[in-house]
Amino acid sequence: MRRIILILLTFIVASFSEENNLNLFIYGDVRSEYLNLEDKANFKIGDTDILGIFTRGNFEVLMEVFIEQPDNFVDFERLYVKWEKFDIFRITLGKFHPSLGYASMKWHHGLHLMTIPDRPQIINFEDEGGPLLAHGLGIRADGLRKLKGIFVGYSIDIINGNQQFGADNSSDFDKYKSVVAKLYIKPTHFSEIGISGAYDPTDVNSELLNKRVKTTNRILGLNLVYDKPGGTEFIAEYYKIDELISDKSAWGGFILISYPLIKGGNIYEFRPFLLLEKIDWEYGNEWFINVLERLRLEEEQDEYIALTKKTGYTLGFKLSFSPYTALKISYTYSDNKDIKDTWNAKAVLSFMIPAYGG
Amino acid sequence: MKRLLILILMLSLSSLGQKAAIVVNPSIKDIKKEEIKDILLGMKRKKVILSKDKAVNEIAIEKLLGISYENFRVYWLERALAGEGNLPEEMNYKEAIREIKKNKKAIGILPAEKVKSSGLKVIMVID
Repeated sequence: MRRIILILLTFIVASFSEENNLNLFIYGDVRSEYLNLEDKANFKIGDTDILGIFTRGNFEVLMEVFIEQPDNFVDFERLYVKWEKFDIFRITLGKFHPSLGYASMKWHHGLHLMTIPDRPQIINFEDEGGPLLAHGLGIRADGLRKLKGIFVGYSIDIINGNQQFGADNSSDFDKYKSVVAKLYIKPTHFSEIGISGAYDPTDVNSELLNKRVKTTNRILGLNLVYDKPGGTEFIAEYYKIDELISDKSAWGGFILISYPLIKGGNIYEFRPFLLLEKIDWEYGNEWFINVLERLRLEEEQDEYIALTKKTGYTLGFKLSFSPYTALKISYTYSDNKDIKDTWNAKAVLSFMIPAYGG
Repeated sequence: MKRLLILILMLSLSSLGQKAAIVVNPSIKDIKKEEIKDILLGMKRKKVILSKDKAVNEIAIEKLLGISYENFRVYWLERALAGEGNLPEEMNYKEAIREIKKNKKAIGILPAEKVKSSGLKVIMVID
């Protein structure tokens, strides 16, 4: 905790110069969930996030500290320095969210920013059973340029590897590096068509599993987005994951549609949403077997259920009282193949506090 | 009471007639409307300066981008949190004029009547 306070103070002191710019935000949520399988409703304090962005000239430093519940575990979710002199070529060094799809980078850990209460399973974080690369420690080159009236963008990441097994916040457990790349166009300011991919070799060598297995995932993703501020939100993402050693694959994706039915008056916005999601793993996929085993050993029961073959249907709404506070209510029905169908209901009160700047 | 009503009426009428100017450093050549939109939405990196007068920002943002000023602020908030740039700064017109004269990479939305003899290049006036 002392380290976090010290970093925050450094950020604030550095911002006193006129050329500098600092923004500090805190966000989090309080929630209640009912799971039919457990037949109980719980109140929970969600995770809390402290985000600091410091810019000076062509440099940006971003630090995101996440306090995870129930153990008050402190984790650096993003910590990087970005050099951005040119729009067409920027370099980022540190820990960031790899360039797969659209939503993962837009939402990061800011659950309040999302219309839905939680991330779709296919783009969930590693420790919650998400199968993609959600965090990466390494280097990124990216850029954006307008060509004949359409913005064309790219991003290439070279990172330590999948944080399910291959790496953690500070180091890599194997000799391999993962490569993630994305190419996209923006036909209008608020739309995006993107193709992304990753090559992710990993030695599954966890102390928890006490064994060593080499796996190599090849990921191909597609995203189609129309996301107008205060208007229609349409995000569709599809991923195919091939494990090249066992020659078994998986696929998954989601479609999110929302629209603000009511704006103004005593509320900021009332936005109903529909989320459809799918995840389907081919039996015998070595990497997936190890993910399930790890989750089972860590007793991440909810995630274990979420990772089986399933089709999820979520209906709900986000009632924003201001841009900074919102109530989200949702009902999810999961049509599962190997276990009986499940459903859950969630009520989430999320907030964001512009603590400095903003 | 009558005087107060007249005053309120006059103030309302004056805000109705308000115009927003898009201004840049005098050394900058002309910028097309489409490029102004790209800059305001952060797709071309420049320093965006907004007026302290929210009505002026509302006129410009709604007419140029087709979204409300409030949604524009939320858009930028989300971009900043995703690590994609700084929130545009709101300044009074005197500060803004000083800053844009100093910074060739700055673009501003300011009340049109305040920039007439400021020495800044007026790219567009929106009412």
